[in-house]
Parts: sequence; structure tokens; C-alpha cells
Amino acid sequence: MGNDGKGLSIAGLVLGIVAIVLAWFSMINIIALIAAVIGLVCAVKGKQAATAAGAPTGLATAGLVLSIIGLVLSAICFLSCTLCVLCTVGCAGLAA
Amino acid sequence: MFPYFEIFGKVIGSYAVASVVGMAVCVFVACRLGRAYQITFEDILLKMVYIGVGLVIGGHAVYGITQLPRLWELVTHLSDYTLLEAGSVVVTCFGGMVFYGGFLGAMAGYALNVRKVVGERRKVLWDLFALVIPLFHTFGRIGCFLGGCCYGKESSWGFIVYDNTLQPDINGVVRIPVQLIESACNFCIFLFLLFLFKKKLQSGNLLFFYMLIYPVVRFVLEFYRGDVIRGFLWGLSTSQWISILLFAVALYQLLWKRRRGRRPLEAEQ
Repeated sequence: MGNDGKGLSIAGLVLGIVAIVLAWFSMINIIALIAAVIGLVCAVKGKQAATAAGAPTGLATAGLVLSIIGLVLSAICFLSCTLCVLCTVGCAGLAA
Repeated sequence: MFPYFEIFGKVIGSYAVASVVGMAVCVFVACRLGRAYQITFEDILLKMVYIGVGLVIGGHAVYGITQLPRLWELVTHLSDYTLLEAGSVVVTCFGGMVFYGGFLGAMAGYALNVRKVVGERRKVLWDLFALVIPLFHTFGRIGCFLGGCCYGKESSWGFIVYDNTLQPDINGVVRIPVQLIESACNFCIFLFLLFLFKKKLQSGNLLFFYMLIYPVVRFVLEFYRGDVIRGFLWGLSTSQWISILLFAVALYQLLWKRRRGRRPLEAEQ
């Protein structure tokens, strides 16, 4: 069976969508960040495999784009919200 | 200074935006420069993932090392803490980031990614790494300035920090804008390294040049920073000690490479 990277491309696409959805929720957007990173790696590897096999790269490109959008959103939301909440909790805990 | 702004009711941190913009600019610049060497957009993205993961782990780990006394206190008196208090201490001890930790972590991640690459391409990849670090740092320090962290000492000139909710006692005082100075220095380092890269001078050595220049800048600027949370040893901060170490390593590597390059010529004579 030839490896055209379809499985990796689908994984990249799904994880990209998951990242975009979860990025908006405070405290769990770290899951979105991890999903986006894994999705990006899957999509890149899928695209490289598809290119090498001469297969269509549309699915991998879609996964790549969605993973990048998910990464940007989750990074902004994670650094804006979750880290600050954790730091505030930390400071409050120390003050207590 | 301006730690947050709102878009459609959602609070967005200025530091987060500066970091993401910095990362995007780095990808763009690396793609433009790497195109001549058949380095694709996907290659760059994959390397950025390795760099990003290394940066986050390294930055937090070294920050944790600077907080060892507090962590040791927690371990030795664990029974005195509630679960929430113990969790708070751990979060606080690993919550911050140290640039040098991030740099070393990013370097380790990158080394893992390019470990199988050899020859001229390997040199180019390491030169690109040396270029994106000061470029990203330029944006990172602007983020620090906007977020009100990594502020400078009290001064008769400069900027007033306000709206810092984590350390309210630093608000309302005129301070040296040490973040903006460091950001400008980083951009100058980037331009200098870009010049060397474009002219193909010192190919494969740009990282060592960065490690020669930036530690000097950081060592000096560290005296003008007003925060004391990064730990001090014999009058110098953790970052200053790491600066000395990196400078020595870079100097040794450059001299060793120069000596090794001369040896075949001497053998011919």
C-alpha cells in the first residue's frame, strides 16, 4: 500500500478544527494549543508524503491552514487568559 | 503599559499579540531567505514547532531553577501547605519565563530537528536560526513593554508603568524603558546578522556571532532592570552569569573553528 499521507492530512484537518473550537474557552485552550501543534506537524508531514507520492495535496493544505489558524488563535487566547489566570491564582495563593 | 485591549468583548493580551506577530514575521523572513536554498514553507513551520516547544519548556524550566529556594522550602515543609497553596507555589515558580532558558531550549529543539541534515544546508539552517532569534526577541520585548513586565529602574526620564495587576507596587513610577532599548538592540543585531547572511560572510558561524553580541548587550542592560525576581549570585543576576557562559562558549568555538581552518594551510606549507 502506497503512503500518500492521507491519514496524516485528515488528522491535521481534524486537529486544526478542534484547535479553532477549543481556543475560545478559557483554561482549556491549552488543549487547543497542543492540538494545533500536533495538527500542524501531521499536516506538514501529510503534505510532504502526498507531494512525494504525487497524490493531491488539497486535504493536507486545508489541514495546514486550519492548524495555523488554530495555533494563532489558541496561542493568543492562552497567553492572554489562561496564563494570567494561573499567575493570579499563584499570587493569590502565595498572599494567602 | 497597555496590557490588554478588547475585541468584540474578548480580552486580548498585548504580549500575546506581540509574540504571535513576532513568530509570523520570523516565519516570513525565514521563508524569504530560505527560498534560495530550497527550504520550503513547510520545513520552516516544522522547525518553528520544534523551536516553540523548546522555547516554552526551556524558558519555564530555567525560571523554575531561579526559584529553587522557594521550591526547596515547599518540598521540605510540604505538610504545612494545603493542596491549593502548594499548587500556587508550583505555578508561581514555573509561571515566568527566562529568555536564556527559552533560547537554550529552542536551540535544543532545533538541534533535534536538524540533526540529520549535513553539509552546506546545515550551515544555512543554523544561520537562519541565528537570524530569527533576535528578530523574535525584538517583538517579545515590545510585548514586555506593553504588558508592563521586565521594566527598568526608577529614573528621572522614561515611561510610567501603570495597570500592572500582578505587581501593583511598580505602578506610577518613572522608569527607564529598558525593554524598548533591548528591543532596538535586538533589531540592530538582526540587521547585522542579515548583512553577514546576505553577503555569505561567516557562513555557519552566525549563531556564535549572536552569542558574542547579545550577551554583552544583556549583561549591561541587566544593571538597568528594576526587577530582582530572577535571582542574584555574587552581585550578578542569573542572566548575567549565563551571558558570561555563552560569550565564553561562542568565543571558544569561533577561535577553535578558525584554528582548525588554518591547520590544512600550515600542513601544506
